Amino acid sequence: MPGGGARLFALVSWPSFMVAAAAEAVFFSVINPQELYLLGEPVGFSPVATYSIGFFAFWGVTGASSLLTAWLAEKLPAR
Amino acid sequence: MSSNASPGNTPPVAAAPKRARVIPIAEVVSDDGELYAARKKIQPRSIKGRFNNVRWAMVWITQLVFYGLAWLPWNGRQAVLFDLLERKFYIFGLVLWPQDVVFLSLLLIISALGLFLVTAVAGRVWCGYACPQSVYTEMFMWIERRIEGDRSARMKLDAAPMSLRKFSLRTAKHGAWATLALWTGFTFVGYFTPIREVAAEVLTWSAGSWEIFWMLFYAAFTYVFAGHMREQVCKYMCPYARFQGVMFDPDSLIVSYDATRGEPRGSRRKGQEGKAIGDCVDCEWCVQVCPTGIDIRKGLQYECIGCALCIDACDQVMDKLGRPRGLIAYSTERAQLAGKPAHESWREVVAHIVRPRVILYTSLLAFIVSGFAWALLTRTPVKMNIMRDRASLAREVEGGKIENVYQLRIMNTSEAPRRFLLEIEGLPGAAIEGQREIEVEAAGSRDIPMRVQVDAESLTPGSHVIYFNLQAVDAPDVRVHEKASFMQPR
Repeated sequence: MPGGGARLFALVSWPSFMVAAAAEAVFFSVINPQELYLLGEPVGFSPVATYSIGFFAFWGVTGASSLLTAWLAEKLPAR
Repeated sequence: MSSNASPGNTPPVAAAPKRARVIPIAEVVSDDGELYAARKKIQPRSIKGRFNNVRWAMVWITQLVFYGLAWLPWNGRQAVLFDLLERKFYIFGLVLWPQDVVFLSLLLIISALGLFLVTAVAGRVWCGYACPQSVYTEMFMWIERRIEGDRSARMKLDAAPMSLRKFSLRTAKHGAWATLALWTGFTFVGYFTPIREVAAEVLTWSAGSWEIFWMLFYAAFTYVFAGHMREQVCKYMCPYARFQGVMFDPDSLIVSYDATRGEPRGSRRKGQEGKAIGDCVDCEWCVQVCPTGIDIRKGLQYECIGCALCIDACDQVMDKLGRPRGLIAYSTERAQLAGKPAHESWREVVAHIVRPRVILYTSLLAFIVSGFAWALLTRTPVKMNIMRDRASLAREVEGGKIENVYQLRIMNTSEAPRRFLLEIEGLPGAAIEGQREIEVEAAGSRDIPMRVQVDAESLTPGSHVIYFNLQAVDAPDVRVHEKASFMQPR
């Protein structure tokens, strides 16, 4: 795993993927996608599409968080 | 990977240590101080032996289950199906609804505790034998070996310039990998959408775009993880590999090298017969077979996934030399410190296993498993949700009566259709208007509006408690009792 971009990608994408998968499972096991509202309208997508979009939305959020953490940790003074 | 683990570059070991060296699990930091050093491609040598047989048995068992279970029918449906559209999980005779999410979380807790227990007793056997990352890597390596040859042939091929032969070998390998990966992706999707329907859709090019997407996504995942990343997943990405140190103790099983017996290592040359020399002939087989490319003779390292292939390799070499097996063996840190690293008696093995941590994990596990089983066995196979009709709270109807309308959702979680009888209680004079007997299909649900009427004069204004009793016609113990409220507006 060479340094630089690939390393950052692995560090950020993988943990956020696992957390997104966990969040997806918890969220959709308690909430029925067909009872969701989007901008005041009932969600019109098929359930599989809602699950999929939900997963990528979770991954986006957790990925952003991981990216920030990676960036902040990079700037930490050496111990 | 650090350069000092590469074959043929083993640093000389100092004088034979008095006691076996025990090195705690630690990250081997490479020379440039970077954790993510440029990777050297690992081309492991294939090896036959006891532990390799166990590994392959596990590949067969886990993959027959994974690829095969999706096709198994059960009561006219797929035996194991996590139906996302219907929001129902079918596991053989068990049908789980969203209301049963507690069972799924219990299952996860049981799995996690089981992993703790196994790790405390036997170290990283999960990693070495059962983890999908190890299993798929083995399958992909098998394909690679069949097409490109064993270690030396592959290393030669890697070094060779592109030629027609190299190109065709590479094409064949990636083609076979892609086929296996696509089949894996298809099977994965087949656990969430009925696999026979998906198969028919794929064959007629009519599969939904999201299904295709997830098939390709999972296939790409498999291809990249098992074909290309392999041991790097364990080394850099796996959280379990990082926190296993917490679950380990000096009595956990580890793959270890008996340095007392092996050192000083070296090949046996003529004229040196009288010299004190250890059993390790420094043949490097243990390094060459290692799928993570480490040298087990340096002690326990966090990269070691406990696959025990180095044991198989060393046993073969010891057999050839006419020396006893077990120079590399499953052992424990405590046994190593006591200077008796391998071939312990059963009594000693039991003494290693029975210890407070293991007893604690086992009793916790037994407690949760029995609770789980009890909850599952005593579960009532019917559920009822009562929602008040949002449009009309209450209204006056003919005959001076007040009517409330409810939406009932009745879920039959058993595998046969059932008839239910609905009754109300708790509110004197209240009566159900309309149908009281309801039939619900097997593992299905039914929404029905339910009107309840009460004499207006007999009720004080406000909210009153009312109970709905749903009773299966064929089984007296299959019943639910739900509370709701009845509104009297005046």
